[in-house]
Amino acid sequence: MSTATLTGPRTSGRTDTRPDPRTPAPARRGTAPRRPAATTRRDATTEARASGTAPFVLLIMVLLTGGLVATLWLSTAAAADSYRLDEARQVARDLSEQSERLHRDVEAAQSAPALAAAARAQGMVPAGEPAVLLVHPDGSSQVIGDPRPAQAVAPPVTPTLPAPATPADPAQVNGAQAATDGQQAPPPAGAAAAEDQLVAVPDDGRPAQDADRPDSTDPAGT
Amino acid sequence: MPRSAATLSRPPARAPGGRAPGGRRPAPPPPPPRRPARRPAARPPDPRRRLRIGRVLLVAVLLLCTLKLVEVQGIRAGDLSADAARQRTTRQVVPAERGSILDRYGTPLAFSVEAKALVANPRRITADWNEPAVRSQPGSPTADQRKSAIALGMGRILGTDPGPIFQALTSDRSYVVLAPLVDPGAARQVREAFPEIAEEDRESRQYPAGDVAATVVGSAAWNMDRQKIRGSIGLESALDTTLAGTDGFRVVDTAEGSDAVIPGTTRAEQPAQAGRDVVLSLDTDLQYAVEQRLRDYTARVGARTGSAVVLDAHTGQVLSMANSGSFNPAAPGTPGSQLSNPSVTSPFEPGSVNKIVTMAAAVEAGVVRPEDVLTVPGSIRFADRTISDAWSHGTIHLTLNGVLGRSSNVGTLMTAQRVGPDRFASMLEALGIGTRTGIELPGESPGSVPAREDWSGSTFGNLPIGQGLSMTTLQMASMYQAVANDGVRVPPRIVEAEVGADGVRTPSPAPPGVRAMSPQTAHTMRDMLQSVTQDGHGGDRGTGPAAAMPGYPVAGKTGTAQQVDPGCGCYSQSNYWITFAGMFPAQDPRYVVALMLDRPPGGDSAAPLFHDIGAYLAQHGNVPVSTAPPRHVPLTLP
Repeated sequence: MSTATLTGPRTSGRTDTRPDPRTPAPARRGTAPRRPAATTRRDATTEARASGTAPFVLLIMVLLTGGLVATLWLSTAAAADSYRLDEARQVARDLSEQSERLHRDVEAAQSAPALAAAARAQGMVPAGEPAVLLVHPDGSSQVIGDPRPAQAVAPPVTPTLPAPATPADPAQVNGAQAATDGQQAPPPAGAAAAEDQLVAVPDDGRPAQDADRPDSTDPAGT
Repeated sequence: MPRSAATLSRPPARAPGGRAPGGRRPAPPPPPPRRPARRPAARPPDPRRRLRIGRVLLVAVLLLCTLKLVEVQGIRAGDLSADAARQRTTRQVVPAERGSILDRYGTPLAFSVEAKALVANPRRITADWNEPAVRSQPGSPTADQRKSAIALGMGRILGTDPGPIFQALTSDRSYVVLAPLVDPGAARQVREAFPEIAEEDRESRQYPAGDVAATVVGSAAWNMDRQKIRGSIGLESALDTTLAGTDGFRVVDTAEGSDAVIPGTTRAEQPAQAGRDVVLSLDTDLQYAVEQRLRDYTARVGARTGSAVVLDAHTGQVLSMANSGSFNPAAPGTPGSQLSNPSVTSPFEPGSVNKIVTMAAAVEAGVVRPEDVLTVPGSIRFADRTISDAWSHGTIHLTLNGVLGRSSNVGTLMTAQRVGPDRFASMLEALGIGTRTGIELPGESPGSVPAREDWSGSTFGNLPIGQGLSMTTLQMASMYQAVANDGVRVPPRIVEAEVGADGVRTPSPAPPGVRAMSPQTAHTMRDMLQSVTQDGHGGDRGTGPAAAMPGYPVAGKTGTAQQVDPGCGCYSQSNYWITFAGMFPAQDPRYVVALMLDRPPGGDSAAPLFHDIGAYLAQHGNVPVSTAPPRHVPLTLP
């Protein structure tokens, strides 16, 4: 409040000394000879001011237009980027799903039962018991074990097998049997293989097995 | 300044209000004359009055608003903002991925993949397609036509039978699961084709090895209540907390009525802790080979069931645990499935396999030496019972090797009498019979051994020959592992390590070993056990030469135990448990194998099965062959 009162007189004083085009006072008070001069001065200042305002307005307009264009461009770019991002995300998701699927398929195909089934399908048979050829330091060699060709065996008993392993078993195994140089696996083929493995033990082991049985005359009182 | 003051003072409203213009400079006077000029023409309603009423009304409304504002912002602020937050805020569960189960070489036995369940609301589909607006459109299908189109389309995309899908869609329910586990890609395809179908997140458990090791690994399936995959059988169940991990959560704002998350509204977030991978000591290839051989042999001899355990001779780790029965972990309910793991859950009487307890106790106590000759009569009396050998003989002379090699009951009981029941009982305990091994598998049985104070006279005539007490196949293997590991029994374990989500491997702590006998005794026992697989003529032939392998000396023991006939409560004369436990190479064992066959009708020995499994193990484990000639010691003396 006090500032206002203080500035009041100062302003008026300045108006007196320096004519301000905004205040009509000099015009009113002024004398005839001063008038044209004052008018020219005022016109000049108005012109000067007009010529000073126009670039400013232009600048503002340019800035505003520029800003608007930039905003539009940025939002368009952002929208376009979001589409690309979305697309990329979709591709990434598809790829990760694919990799998961492939991982699963590879694991299923690598599993022991699937490999065994695939080997059977190709007519392969288990190698059985290998014989070992041992070379001594003096150059002599020794065969340990009884080398014999592998024989086709009946497909192993698999009550529940994963899906990829099941198809095309019997036909392939039959093929495998035919492929082993005419040696027919007598039914059941598994028994034949077992006999082979028993060859290491001449005679049969029956009496020995019986020796295990504990006293059979006396029921234990437990 | 003066001009603006004039503009301000122009509205006459204030002047009649009675307020003096104060220090304001007097305004030019025009208004007063204008007003009186109008007044005579105007009718009674006084604008000042109207304005006053309006002002009062405005103030009243403002006051009301203020009051409401105070109520909303001040008094009920907490409740209302809580309500709003509740409407917006959603706590989303971030599911933790279940850990895998791997074998010792990192081959997965069980792992999880992302999957979707396709669900629908059949009632809503019916209602939507029966709406008059839809019905009035020419060519629009009826609800049933639409449903059949959905079923056919889904069947085509998923490669399944559309019949059950159609049935589910035509049921009068508001929620049906059309396909429980679908590949995410296929689920998306279905959803895009048929907007009526919704998808839900699921996790699908994969068992690439199928039924191999299924009784050990077990099975896990989606649990609707917990919205999470849960183990129900085997290790999947026993190690569920380790495998499952901890679900995380995220508190976000969502647009009401949808799951769309408003970006940047995440308030709290706790990441999910993925489940830990469990590395087993199993070897999948070996497991497959053992299972095949066991199944073949069980089927060939006609036994009801069989089980086999292979242990690492030094660490006691389970390399293979096989049962003749198994199941498909992806469909555990299939008829004919065997879900349990009898190798650890089903004890049986071991028979002569248990004779090593007597022999080890006798050698450890120094009461006998392997070369000692025993004069063995045809039978021996124990309290009220007479026990004879499985083959009838008069008095013969058997070395201690022969007593074990030919599995003489009478000779063993004579030795047991020299050992005494206390030393026998403590050896039985040291070998872990009657106590659980503590393996990580669920449902382990401790077997049974009569308490020492309850022993009657005939009890000590039964236990040394492996009747009247029971053990699991795993315990039997562990007993022989002590002999193989120079007398220190390391309780068997099947979980080798756990691997965290960060890839850090934490090995399972090794259980403390139990010294059951001195290294010398273990060495002597391994020698004596080779007599069992010794091939010879007449009295120098052991009971299990079929277990012998060329190039690999085998130390083992055959066993045959009578089963209790539930009809008479006595020992059956026709039903037997056939067992075999052994190790190879005999003097520096790498593997311990224990086998059990339940009721083979012909009473066939399990020794050939040991040979089959041993031959595979020798080849699989690159066990060096021995060039030493097979051990041959006299078993029977004239």
